[in-house]
Amino acid sequence: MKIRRFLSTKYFDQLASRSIPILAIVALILSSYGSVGGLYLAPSDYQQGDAFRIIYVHVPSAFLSLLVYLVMGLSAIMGLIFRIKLFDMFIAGSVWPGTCFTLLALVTGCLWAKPMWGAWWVWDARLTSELILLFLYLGVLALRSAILEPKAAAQASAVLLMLGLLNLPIIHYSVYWWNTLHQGASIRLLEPSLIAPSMLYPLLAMIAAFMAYYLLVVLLHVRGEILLHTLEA
Amino acid sequence: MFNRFFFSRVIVNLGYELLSVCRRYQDIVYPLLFLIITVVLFPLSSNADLQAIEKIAPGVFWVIILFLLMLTLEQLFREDWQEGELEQLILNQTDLLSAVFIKLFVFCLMLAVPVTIMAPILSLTLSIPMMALKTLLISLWLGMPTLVFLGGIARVLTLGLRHSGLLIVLLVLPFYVPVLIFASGAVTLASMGLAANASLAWLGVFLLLSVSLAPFVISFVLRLGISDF
Amino acid sequence: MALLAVEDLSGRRNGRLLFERLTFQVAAGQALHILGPNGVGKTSLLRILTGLAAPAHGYILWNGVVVARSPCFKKNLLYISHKLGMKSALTPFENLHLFLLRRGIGHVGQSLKSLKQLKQYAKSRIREALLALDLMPHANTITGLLSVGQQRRLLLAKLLLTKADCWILDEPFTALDTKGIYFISTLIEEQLERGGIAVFTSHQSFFLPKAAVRKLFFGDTLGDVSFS
Repeated sequence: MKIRRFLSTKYFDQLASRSIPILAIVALILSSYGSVGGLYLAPSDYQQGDAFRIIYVHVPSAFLSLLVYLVMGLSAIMGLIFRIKLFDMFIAGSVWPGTCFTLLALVTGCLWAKPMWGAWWVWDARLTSELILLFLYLGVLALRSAILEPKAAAQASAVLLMLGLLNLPIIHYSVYWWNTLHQGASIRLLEPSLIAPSMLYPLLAMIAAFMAYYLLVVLLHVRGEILLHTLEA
Repeated sequence: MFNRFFFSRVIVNLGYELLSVCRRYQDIVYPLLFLIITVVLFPLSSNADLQAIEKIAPGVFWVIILFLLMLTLEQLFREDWQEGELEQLILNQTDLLSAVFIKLFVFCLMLAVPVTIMAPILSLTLSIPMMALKTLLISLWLGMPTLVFLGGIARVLTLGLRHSGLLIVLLVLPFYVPVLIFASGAVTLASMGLAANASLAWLGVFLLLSVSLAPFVISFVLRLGISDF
Repeated sequence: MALLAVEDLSGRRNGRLLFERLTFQVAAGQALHILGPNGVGKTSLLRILTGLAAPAHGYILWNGVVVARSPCFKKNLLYISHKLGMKSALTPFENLHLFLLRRGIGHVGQSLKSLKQLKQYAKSRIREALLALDLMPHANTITGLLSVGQQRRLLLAKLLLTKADCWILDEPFTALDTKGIYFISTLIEEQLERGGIAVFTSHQSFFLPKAAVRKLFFGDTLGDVSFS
């Protein structure tokens, strides 16, 4: 079956080695267009001045942090059901990038909050969800490093990721509910401005660039692990 | 598993678990002691500004409950693991699921009894109005089993490790946040005189989900053989 | 018909390889004695044989079926580890009652009509076993308060109470006096005569004159595993 062939480590290794340079070039091009377009070319927002430009880093990293967790969760479920080692290699390669994206999203969120609302940290629904996501990532990191036996660590973190994935919508909804209970209507920041294509396209480019970068990092890691496995066997 | 003696096996198992808990009475006394200490410390350390305390009181109450749980979760399967009883259960596949459920249930009882006794006193100390007491107790009885069952999953993932206490807290924190939000939200609404049915209903949903699914996940994890001896 | 077969087994603990490419069979009426210095992987091998730990590689077969997918194996297995294996807060009597209940007393081959008969039967069996082990005076003391030797003897009651084709015993002779060692040896011989198998580790000497005991040596270096 074609999918099974795709998942065998030797075939995947070849695929990865061919994709890595392509992904690197794509990431480079997209991120240069995104950063130049967003940080330099796009006009200043009429409400927020130049401070809004941080969305070109904040939104992609927040989006990626969620996407990476989704990928990890799905790989965990696949790995537990089908017991294919490749999925665990995906998870191993995604944990650190995911954590860094979440941290980046939180830090840029703080940097954005200061000129907007005058405080370094606001209990906004999105920022709070991001914080909880950070704890989810830290939990996976901690569990993987605490269990010494690699196979057992993989299985334990897969169970944790699966549960975290199922819980993510519940967490988002309950934080949103809590926010409306305590603060009233949520603040809508960018909806009117983002219609302008000169602001929207660099943002989409940056999101795509971050995705390409993440795939690049994961594939590099997976290739390394495949090499390790072939050396051991 | 479901032969004609299933019900009697469950009852006898439950009886023996309760018996062993009663014999190790320290496990019941420590939670009670913790709650008494918080009851004493809280008024001593705060400025007795009733208005300010009233606003955050439901949240503080539930945070205290969470702390209690985080302190005691480490004991959950610990003795069974150290004595080898858990290994024997894993080998005896037919009874693993019901035994896990019974152990979690007994642990809930072990915590629920001191908390229910101390809840009125604690709410007096924190100036939670009396009209919210009923909602408080219901949110306790709906919320604590959820917390225990979810904590059981985290406990079992870290079973053989040293210093697992902190790791359990870290693992289980994101899963506790929704329960915390809805439970303290319910008590807040009740102390303002509003109906808290929606939040309590959500707590009920979490309870049903966790109680029905957690034993399966725990048995699965135990059978994986992650834990070291 | 009992047959435990191991094929191409390798075991790891904490990432360290303990043994690899292990292949052997233990047929009905045979015993396997695993020897070696401390920390070399004997207990890990026993845990892998029971199915509590997963091997890094290879299979374990019970009567031709892989152990992981064989409910028959778990029903026929009796595992005694170096841990207590029972609740220390209950008395020996209560512990053995719980053990029999979980084991399914029907295992002993009696068809019982009601719960009351079940309880009577369990009580009489436990009393017999405790008498045989000289533990009747302590039958109602909390297990945690017994001495180590008495606790180890209590574990032997499990061997008396159920019939299991496969015995996997981790250091069964520790903390026992000569009488206890002799008693266990007799039990193992009876088990082998019944057609069951016994796999055990031991540092002490024991008497099994009539039995067919094979020895599996774990050497000091990795993978130095040999038979006699």
